[in-house]
Amino acid sequence: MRSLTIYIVFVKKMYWKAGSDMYSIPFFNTEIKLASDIIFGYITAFILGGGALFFITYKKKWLILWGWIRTTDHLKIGIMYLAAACAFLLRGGLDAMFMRMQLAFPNIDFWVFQGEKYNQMMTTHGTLMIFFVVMPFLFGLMNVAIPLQIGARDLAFPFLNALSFWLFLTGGMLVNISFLLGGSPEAGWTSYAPLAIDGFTGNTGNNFYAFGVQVSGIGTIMTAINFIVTIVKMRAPGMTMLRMPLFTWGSFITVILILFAFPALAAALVLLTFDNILATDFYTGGPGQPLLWQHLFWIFGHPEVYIIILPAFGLFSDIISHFARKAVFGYMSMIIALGLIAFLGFMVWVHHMFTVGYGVAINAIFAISTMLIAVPTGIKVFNWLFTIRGGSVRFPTPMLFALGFIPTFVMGGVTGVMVSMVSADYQYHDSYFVVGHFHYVMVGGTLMGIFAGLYYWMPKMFGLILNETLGKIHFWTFLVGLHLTFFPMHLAGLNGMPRRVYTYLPEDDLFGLNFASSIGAIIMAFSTAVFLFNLIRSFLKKEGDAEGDAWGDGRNLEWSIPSPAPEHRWSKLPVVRSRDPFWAAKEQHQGRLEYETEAQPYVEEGNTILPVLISGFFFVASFGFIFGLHWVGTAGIALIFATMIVRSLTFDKNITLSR
Amino acid sequence: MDKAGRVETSSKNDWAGSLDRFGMWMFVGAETILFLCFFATYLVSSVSTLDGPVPKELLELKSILLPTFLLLSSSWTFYRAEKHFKNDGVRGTMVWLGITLLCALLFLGFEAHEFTSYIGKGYTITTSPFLAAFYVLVGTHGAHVLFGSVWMMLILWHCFRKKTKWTNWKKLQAFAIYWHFVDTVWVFIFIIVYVLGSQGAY
Repeated sequence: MRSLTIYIVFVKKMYWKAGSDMYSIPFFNTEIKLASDIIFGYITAFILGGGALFFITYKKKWLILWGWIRTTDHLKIGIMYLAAACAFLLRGGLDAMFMRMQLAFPNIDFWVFQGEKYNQMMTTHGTLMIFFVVMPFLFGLMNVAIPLQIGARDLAFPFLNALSFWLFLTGGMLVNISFLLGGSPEAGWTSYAPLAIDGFTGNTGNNFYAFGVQVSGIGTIMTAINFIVTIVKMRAPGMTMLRMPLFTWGSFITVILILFAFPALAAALVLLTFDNILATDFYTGGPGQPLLWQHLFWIFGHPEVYIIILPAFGLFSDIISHFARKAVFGYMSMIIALGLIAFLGFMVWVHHMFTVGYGVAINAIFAISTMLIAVPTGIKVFNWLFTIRGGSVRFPTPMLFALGFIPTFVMGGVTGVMVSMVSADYQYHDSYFVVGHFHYVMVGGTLMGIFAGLYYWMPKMFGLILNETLGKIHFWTFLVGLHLTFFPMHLAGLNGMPRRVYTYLPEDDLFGLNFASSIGAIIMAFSTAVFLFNLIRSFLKKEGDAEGDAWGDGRNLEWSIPSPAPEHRWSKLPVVRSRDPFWAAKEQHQGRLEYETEAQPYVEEGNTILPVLISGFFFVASFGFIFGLHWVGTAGIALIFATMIVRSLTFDKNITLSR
Repeated sequence: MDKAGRVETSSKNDWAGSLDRFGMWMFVGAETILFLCFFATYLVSSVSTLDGPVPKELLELKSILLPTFLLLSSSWTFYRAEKHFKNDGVRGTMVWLGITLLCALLFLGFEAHEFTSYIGKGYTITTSPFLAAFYVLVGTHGAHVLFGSVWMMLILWHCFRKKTKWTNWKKLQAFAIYWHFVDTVWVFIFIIVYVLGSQGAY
């Protein structure tokens, strides 16, 4: 404790403010300015990294770690996704706290987070939360639950699944270390050109954005292919498409969206990278077309919104039906609504660009298509309500999150319809109103869904149920904090506060609203701390004796196998004859599922180090290109392909045909 | 409602092969979007040529006909290779696959020659947005042909080792989708970039 105090005093004394006369170290084509936050970051990184190494060595966990990084098992990969996403959530949350501290009072300087540093924090916050928190959380839940829900032994391509995970982690690390190596990206998570091009922003940060998101995006496309093939081709006998649980359906629609949306981002990022590294003129203001970036980005970016929310929709359907002990109301209309949302999601991207000035006709078309999305979403909301109606409802933590989600998400949806009205949008555009809106749907929708999913499937991952009292504290503080943080943002926006500013004046009359938001942010931070404490406490106490049907009243296949899910989940595949097969089995056969009489042969993928190697070479290549070491970059790419050739040559050795 | 209690059993003999093929189709779907974006970029960028050449000055239809012929024929030669694998065995496959590989490599040679001659004239990727978009679109396709060539060499090696016929057939089938896709993209590049460009359509 005493050393910590000395450390803080030291940091305070070193360089309290970022200034131009500060000491800086040249680093390839950039320089690392040793401001106090950077020094703090280095020291923290060394303490955490060293502590982790010491812990692993002390507890003799290297062999276990070696097993985990070589795994191709969907459950283990899912858990790794969730763990990594948790880490990135803390980093993104820390950024958010810095921003809220800077904005808590008018005209103050909190630590170094003004101007450029504030832009870096806000960009990192957005980029991390979208690409490296929410998406991997969802992929983690999909990896854990979908093969269990549809009765598949693993994903269709286990090797590709491992590779996807490691590519995501590589991308996430690239975006994160940018802070320590010359500055984070600072053009916003949308990275609008020409702002994101050299000459407008003076560091390598935006290259970190381009490469980090690109590398993880490649992994995301592979995940999409993997899940599409798994869901279409590898369902258990009798598990028809229209008998699948709704989480699987929501994820299925999501991965289809990913498949067609992410390549647009990949293309956009390739061009951005070329503009920065080869000095081409795709997006530059003069000869280039800055609007091209906006189109390509939002052709990806709007489906991305639905990519993020649809699995949460599906998950809430499952949870509500589970704890209302009632089949989901309007199963078919739920699926049709998912499909409609996905279809319309591709037709609305220009609503992010209303103020570009495309004229009345184009704006009107995109405004109407945007408003149409409210219809299928409304159908889903009413279906959830009708599922609860007449059910015999229990209120464990996942159900609380589901019930908190419905009104919160409706509020986010209503403000969404408000911003879709073009003439009004000229007022809302780039104001805190929009910030409030998308945090209501992202945090109130997806993040609540993720928390619900974590509580819900924790038994399947670790064989334990998280402490319910702490879970309820987590839920209530989170709900209160969420509304207290984001509701005032709408009002601040209507009072004229633009987004992405680092301060405001006392006479702007924004102090009360911003102060309330900052208090809310502190409550949310406390709430997340409770959640982490709950996780750590449960792991330490090892109260891991959850039953297979851990919550009772399980409806789907995942609750029919023991908790945690054993190594070989299905020796014989279950035979499904209706929706909610486990519930039906309980009603008709005392909970005994029917299994196929003779096990079919199947292919098993062994452990392999190659995914980690390929991702490592992606890291080397990105690092080289970011810092202008083109030979390192080229060597990295050559090594990527060399490793792929090794994979092709050793492919047969790593698979076994089981009976 | 679903028909209560009905269980369809599917034949699972070919399931692994069909997984690979289906996955490849999905991958090709994603690639389609990637190329669509590059085509769109090319179309909006081709008007801004700055001091560099306009499409009509740069592109020549005559010199692209032979590489086009080679690449499009390679789809047919590959089809022959696939047929042989099914019918008379692996030797014919290797011969026809070799011819396919030769076509692809020749195509790449022509493309490299084309690019170096442009660069020799001082028309580099930084000259104008039009040239940048041209290099990105055609270059991405070229990279796909290169990738396919290395893939073909690996398949040839696997056929040479004659390990398991089953995995080789799987590889060949997945590669078929990829290779025909790369050819199809070239048809669009040929028409939109070369034919229309050299006629001064924009």
